[in-house]
Amino acid sequence: MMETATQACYRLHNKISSQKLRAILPKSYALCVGTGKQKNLILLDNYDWDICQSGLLLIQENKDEFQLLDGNDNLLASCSVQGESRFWWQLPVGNLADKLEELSPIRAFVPKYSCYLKTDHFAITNTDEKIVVRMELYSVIGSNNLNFYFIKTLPLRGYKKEYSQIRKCLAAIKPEELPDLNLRSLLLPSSSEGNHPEKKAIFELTATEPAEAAISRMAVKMIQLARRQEQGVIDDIDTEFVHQYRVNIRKTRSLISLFKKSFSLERYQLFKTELKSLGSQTNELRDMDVFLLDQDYYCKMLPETLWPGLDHIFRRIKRRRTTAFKRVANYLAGTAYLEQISCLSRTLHQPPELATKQSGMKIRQLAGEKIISQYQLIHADGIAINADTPDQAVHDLRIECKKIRYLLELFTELFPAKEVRQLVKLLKVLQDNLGRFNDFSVQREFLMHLGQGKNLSADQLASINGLTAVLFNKQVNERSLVVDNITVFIDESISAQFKKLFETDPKKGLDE
Amino acid sequence: MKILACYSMKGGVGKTASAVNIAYWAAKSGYRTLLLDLDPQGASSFYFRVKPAPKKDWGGRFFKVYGEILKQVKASDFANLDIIPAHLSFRNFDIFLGQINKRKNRMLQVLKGLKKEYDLIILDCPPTISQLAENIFAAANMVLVPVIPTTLSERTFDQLTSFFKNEDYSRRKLIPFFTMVDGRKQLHQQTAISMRKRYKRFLRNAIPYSSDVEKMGKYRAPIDIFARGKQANKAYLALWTEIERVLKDS
Repeated sequence: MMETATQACYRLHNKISSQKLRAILPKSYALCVGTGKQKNLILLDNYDWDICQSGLLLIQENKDEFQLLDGNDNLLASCSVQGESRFWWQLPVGNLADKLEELSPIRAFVPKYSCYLKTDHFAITNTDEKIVVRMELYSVIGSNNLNFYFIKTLPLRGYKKEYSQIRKCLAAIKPEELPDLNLRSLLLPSSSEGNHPEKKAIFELTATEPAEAAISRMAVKMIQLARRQEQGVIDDIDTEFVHQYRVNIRKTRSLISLFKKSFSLERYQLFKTELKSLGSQTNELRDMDVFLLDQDYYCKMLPETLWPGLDHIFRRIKRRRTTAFKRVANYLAGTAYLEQISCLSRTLHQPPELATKQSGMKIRQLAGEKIISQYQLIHADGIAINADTPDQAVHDLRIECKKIRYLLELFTELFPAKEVRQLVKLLKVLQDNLGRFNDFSVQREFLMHLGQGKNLSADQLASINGLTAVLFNKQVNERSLVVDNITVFIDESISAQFKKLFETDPKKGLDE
Repeated sequence: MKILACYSMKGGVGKTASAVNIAYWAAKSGYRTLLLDLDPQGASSFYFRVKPAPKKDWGGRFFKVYGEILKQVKASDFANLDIIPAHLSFRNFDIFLGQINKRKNRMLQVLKGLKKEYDLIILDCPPTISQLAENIFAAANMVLVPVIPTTLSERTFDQLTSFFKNEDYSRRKLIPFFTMVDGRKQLHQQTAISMRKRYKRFLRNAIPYSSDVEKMGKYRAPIDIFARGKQANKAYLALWTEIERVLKDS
């Protein structure tokens, strides 16, 4: 292949005018100003920056067009939008909606950064008025009042000497050379990308840290993570905010309860009461969200004749959701909530009381013991479950599994990460099974409760009964898988692994 | 990749103007195009403001080293269009070709090496019938022959056709078209009618006589750049569209 000089990209420290550019060129060259292009761009992504993190960009151009671009600015999919378009399912059916369903199945995409992008084209000509180098100047005028300027030089075949001469001249304005220049490099440094929220908490635990201090610190961090979701809940951006809020509160609650003996009774009682109250506030809203998110799924379960009734039910639930949402939003924005949170956090920030035997124990040893005993509990409960065991025992096992999952995830940093991840993976299979079993039962109860309501028409009742029957069948099917999944998780080899990873050797201890 | 030669034994019939404008429209239609200026006078290089590298006698090496050609490629001011400018040492081609051997497919072998980079190669040929011309005839998928509708031009085209016949080149490659047509001249009209009768492969579109074609030297650019709305420009676009159709069919 022909050897051609490659294009070069630079970030400029200041704006540069065409006069200034002309002035730095050697006398034998002329600068011709071509036609410029300008557009308003909005960078969209969800709260977790999932689209950007997968190497793509979602751009809203001129208000009514969405474009999904890859890392080289190639258009992967686009569509024109009208009205509310915050979720993939609100976009017109097509390629873009499909791709965004994969990238952001639940979360809304919101404006992350907006700017006015101006591109100026220049041609540098020799004494024959032949173009020897082309240049592009990009001005990113951010709505956050921060402006950025970039320049790209494009070599032309057969004009290598001229190209290197002109690149040398550019050194006069001391630009910062970049490996590449595309929309990603133009927009992302200007936006706050890179500050994307941590998905999992990192506690920086040390093995020998006393339990009370460590658990308090972990609780503080998780409450912080929960609080980061508050504004998203209040603004009702997507259902994931309230979900993540609840997950963090639930994890904190589980942690405090598993390590209750690390605190004085008084402190433990306070944590328990406050966390329970925090968690329960969002129960109803989350129930409605879960049901509404599964709208399509429910539709598919029923014959078309029952859809009108189902439609009525969903409208009913949407109204209830609106009420539940308002209550939660008012609660989170209110002073009572703030007081509750600050009381919790004040207490967690207080110096350890060291009032119990466990409070001073080394956290790694204690966490290991907790994991082992929790596994033993699951083992004992699991053995007792067979095909005829009442459902309640299966539900109880689900709760215990959730606790060990939290323990494994929260304390991963103290143990060999790879092995812990493998155990979590295995546990997840069982948990998913138990989770579905529970979901079907909760959904059935929810529907039965709904069926007892007033003013239900015959077609609404028919669809409720239809759904209940389908869900019952699904639940029975899920129940039939439980025993096998438990058997895998309580297998001897897994027991041995738990022992190896988490059991403390009384002689050596775990604190080296 | 297709190779298209603009060729005539006769000088001053509009070979270079045609090569330049056809190359321009081909590139504009999305074909990655290379214009190879084989005429040592370098008129098409001049129209595109491209100068050859100051290298001695690379013409002598033309058929030896493929890499040598690539070093000569220069981008034009237009997207998709590159030029290999003419070089005075091209005058030695014939002597050189005569020296090495009598093979006529050397040029085709060299140009084949460019098929990954270009969709279309346009050869602007010098007005000779020689070893170089025979290499061009062997390499080209289409030999475009500009013909002024006059008796002398008709005679030249007849000679070329006979040459193709005698030397066993496919006459289907020969695609003539009229240039510098002056509709007011009766001779032009009569010659055109009689030639179209005898040669069915004549392109339907013709290039009228126009001062805009001559102005290419002043503006050093394809006609579209300085006389967009003019008849000559429209004629070249129509001619290119017709050539494109023939290329696709061939």
